[in-house]
Amino acid sequence: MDEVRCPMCGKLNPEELDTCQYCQARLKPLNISSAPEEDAEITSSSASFNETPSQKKPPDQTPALPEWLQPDWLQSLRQGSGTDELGEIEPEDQLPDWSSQEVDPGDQETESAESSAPEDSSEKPDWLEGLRAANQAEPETPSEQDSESTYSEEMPEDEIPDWLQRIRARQSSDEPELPLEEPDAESAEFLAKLRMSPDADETDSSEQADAEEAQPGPDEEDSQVPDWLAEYAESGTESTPPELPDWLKSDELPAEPEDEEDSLAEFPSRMTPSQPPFTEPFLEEDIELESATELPAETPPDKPPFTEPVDEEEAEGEIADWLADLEIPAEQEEMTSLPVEDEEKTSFAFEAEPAEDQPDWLQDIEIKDGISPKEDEQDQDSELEVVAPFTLDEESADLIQEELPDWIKEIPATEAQTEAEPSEEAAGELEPAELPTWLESMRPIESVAPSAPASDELDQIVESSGPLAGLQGILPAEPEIAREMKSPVYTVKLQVSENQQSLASRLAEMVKSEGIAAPIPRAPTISSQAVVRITIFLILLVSVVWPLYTGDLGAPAPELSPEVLDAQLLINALPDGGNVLLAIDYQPAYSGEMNATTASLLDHLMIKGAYLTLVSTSTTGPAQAEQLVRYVNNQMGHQYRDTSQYANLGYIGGGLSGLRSFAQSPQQIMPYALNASTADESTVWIDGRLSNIQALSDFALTVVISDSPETARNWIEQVGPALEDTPLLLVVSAQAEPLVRPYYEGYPKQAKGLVVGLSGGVAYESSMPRPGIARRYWDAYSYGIPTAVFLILIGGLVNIVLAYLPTLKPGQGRAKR
Amino acid sequence: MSLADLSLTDMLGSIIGFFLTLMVFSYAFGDNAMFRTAIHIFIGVASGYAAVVAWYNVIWPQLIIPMVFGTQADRIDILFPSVLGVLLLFKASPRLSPLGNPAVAYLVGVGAATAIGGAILGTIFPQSLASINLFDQQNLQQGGEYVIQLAKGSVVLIGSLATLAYFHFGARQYPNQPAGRPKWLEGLAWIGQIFIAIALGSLFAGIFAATLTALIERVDFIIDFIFALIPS
Repeated sequence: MDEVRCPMCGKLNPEELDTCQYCQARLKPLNISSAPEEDAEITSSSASFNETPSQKKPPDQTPALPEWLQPDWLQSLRQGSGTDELGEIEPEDQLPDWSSQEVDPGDQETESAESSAPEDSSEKPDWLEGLRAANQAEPETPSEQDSESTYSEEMPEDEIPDWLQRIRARQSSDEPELPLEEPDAESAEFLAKLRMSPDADETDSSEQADAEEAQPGPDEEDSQVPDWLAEYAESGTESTPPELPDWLKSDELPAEPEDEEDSLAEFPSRMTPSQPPFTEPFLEEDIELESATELPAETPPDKPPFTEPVDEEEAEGEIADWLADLEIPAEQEEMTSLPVEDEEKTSFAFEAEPAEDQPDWLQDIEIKDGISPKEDEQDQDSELEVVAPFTLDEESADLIQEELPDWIKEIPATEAQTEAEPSEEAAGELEPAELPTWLESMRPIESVAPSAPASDELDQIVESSGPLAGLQGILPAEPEIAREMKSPVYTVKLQVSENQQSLASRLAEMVKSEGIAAPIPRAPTISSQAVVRITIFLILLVSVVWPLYTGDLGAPAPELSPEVLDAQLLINALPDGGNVLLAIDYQPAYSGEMNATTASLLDHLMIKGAYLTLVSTSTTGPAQAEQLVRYVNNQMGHQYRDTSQYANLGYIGGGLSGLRSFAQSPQQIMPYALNASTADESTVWIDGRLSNIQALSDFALTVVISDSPETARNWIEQVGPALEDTPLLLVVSAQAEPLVRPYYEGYPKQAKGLVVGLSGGVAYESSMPRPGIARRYWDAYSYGIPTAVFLILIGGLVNIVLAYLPTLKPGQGRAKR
Repeated sequence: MSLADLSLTDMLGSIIGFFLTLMVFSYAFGDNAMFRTAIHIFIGVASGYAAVVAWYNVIWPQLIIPMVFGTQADRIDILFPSVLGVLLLFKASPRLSPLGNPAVAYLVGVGAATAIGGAILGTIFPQSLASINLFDQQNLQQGGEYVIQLAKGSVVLIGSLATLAYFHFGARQYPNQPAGRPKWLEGLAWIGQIFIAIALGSLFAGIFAATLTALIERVDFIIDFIFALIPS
């Protein structure tokens, strides 16, 4: 079934349809013209436009040439014979095959349009033949001449193209020239006619022989040099004509006359034989797609039809020669190769015509190149790579496809197929490697995961401005380094284990809780600590109260220690009435212990009648001194009440400096006595018992009574050097003994005697004939110390048990901490 | 003895003392207001008594009387201490505090010199000599217990050296080892720790003995007071 190509979308549609079944465009234009002939022309032109390239186009459907393109010979023919030159067109049987085409029986327009084609399927336009003949200025070959004459004379009327008929009619009736047809329709018919269909070629092959007979001879061809070409040659410059392409250069062709060369120099570029349409790009060694793409633009709207019948043999030889001269390099082959499958992408929708429709000469060429038509068809399905700078849409691609002759389409396709074959063969030979399992397991993840094929980013860039707007794969004007690119952000994910995470969260909670005040838990009214403290207090209280309440329980008195004995000896060695310096430097909190310790010694001094000089380096010392004297008086029955028995000099200020000063000049530092009742009695250094005391060394004995080891040390350090031969006696608390004893134990002794705590007092008291209060406290002290020791031991054991109890498990030994 | 035998002041003192003692004993049940009251009273009384003593024992006899009632020579002698005393009063004002710096510097300097001199002459030299004299043959021969004294001296010597070694914190850097004391010094320091522990234990025992004695004295006072209230 015949099909018609849609002029809009380019898709094939059945011929009987008026509108395209895809895009709903009209397949058959409407005939508006009143002239029946014009209508016939229009319909015939539209029919030819809608017909497939494979269909032959009748020669009479070629568009009417405008006047400026009408050759003079054509006009002369019209004027001379009264008919169009085309009226002398050889009959149909003498026309080449391509000029006639297969039409439906019902299409009378097509039948009328069937006329001899000006040329065969060798795609050489007649006007080009004319140009050649004009340039060469040689008589045309008899075959050509005959073909021209026979073409114009012997062509039956029904085979005369419409446009030719119109011309004849004008000339005969002197009608004004019809307005030129629209270039589009004319060009469409002309372009359609240029499309060499295989079917038309086959049928035309038989007609070519007839056409050859009708071709005019060389003499006639000479006379048929178009005048318009000759005019241009005369008015042209003396510039040398451009070089003819190879296919035009032929031994058979006559040499170009010089005059004609000059006259042709000024021809329009598109009319010069040096730039024949659709041929030059394909004759040159370097096929450029640009020139190929320029073909549609450079294609004139009105192309002269192939009016000159061409000798079939000559045409074949010429075609073969120029076609054989085609040496398309391999690079150009790639550029010209087209993907057959996707017609939209390709700029040149070269349709691979079936082998059956291809002309014989083309088939011979293909065979010569080693490519059979059948193979060609098979390879057409393979994807052909094309690198086209311009991408055309489907409609323009179809137009280009229709404009170009078939021989142009077939050449790149065949050559591109040869490239596809080896690539396919090479791809078919390769097989994916099979890795062993052990190697597969070592394979990195990146190599296993499918990755997108690498592609150059430059190819994806589409230029948006400038003269190269719309092109793809263009090198950027700015270097990549000058582009403003955002720096990549590398994410670093820290791998944290669960243990580390828990520790980190714990640390964060600790830091967070630092600023938050923790609520103070309300202490219970009665706690375990309070119970323990009360229990201990009660136990100690009972151990102390009971002996005090019951009286003497017979606790053995301590032995008389050497230090106590030395102290006692020192006091025994005092002269009667001797001056004794007493330093009362203990705190009121320890007065109970110190009173009990000192009472016996002070009683001994009082018994000796010693004059007591009381001083103190603490502010409460003078008061303590007074209280001690009164206590001993009350307990022992002594009467030391005024400055005649003792002198309370008071407080020595200045710390160590004051003590040092007192040691150097006691009268100046402590001039007055606090216990003086009168002012006169206060001056004990002048009128009292201290008038013969100039320095501390004048005292008979120095007794330091202290509860602190520091105080005792100060007295020893500051006053000791000033005492010289005066003995120093230390009466200290039990807590000061470890630090004070070295002063007694050392050699030479810095302290001549030492009485320590209640035990020393009890020991000293035991050597005295009268009992003192120390013996009274000794029973309670004797029971209290063991009780305290017992409590300490019990408490320690309980704590040890409580500490190790949670870790102890049945069947296990002692847990390690 | 009954309260009637005591004078009024003694009786009041006894009564006040009795209640204050009980207030202090209340600390056995935890910190409370009675204990704090007793402590505050004690601090106040002690501060007041100290102020009175400072006036009667320092300012009046050593500053006022020489300046007012003394001779010219006495006034000249008292001039420099008086000026330092006045400058020391400026320490109470933050703005004028720098004026008291000379007096403070004098006091600090004199006090440091006195302390250092006394420590060196009164403690370090004599005690060092005493430690050396423990091995004096003349002293040992005098005693009958020669071996015991010699052993005692050795113990004292070792204890003294070990205690001093314990307080030696100089370290030396060794290759591939953290900085630390030599091993022999570490051993001697460990012995010193034992002696220090024994010394601290004896101190604790003495403190406990002293406080126990104080407890006994106060309990005895309470018993006597109670018994004094009971009419015989």
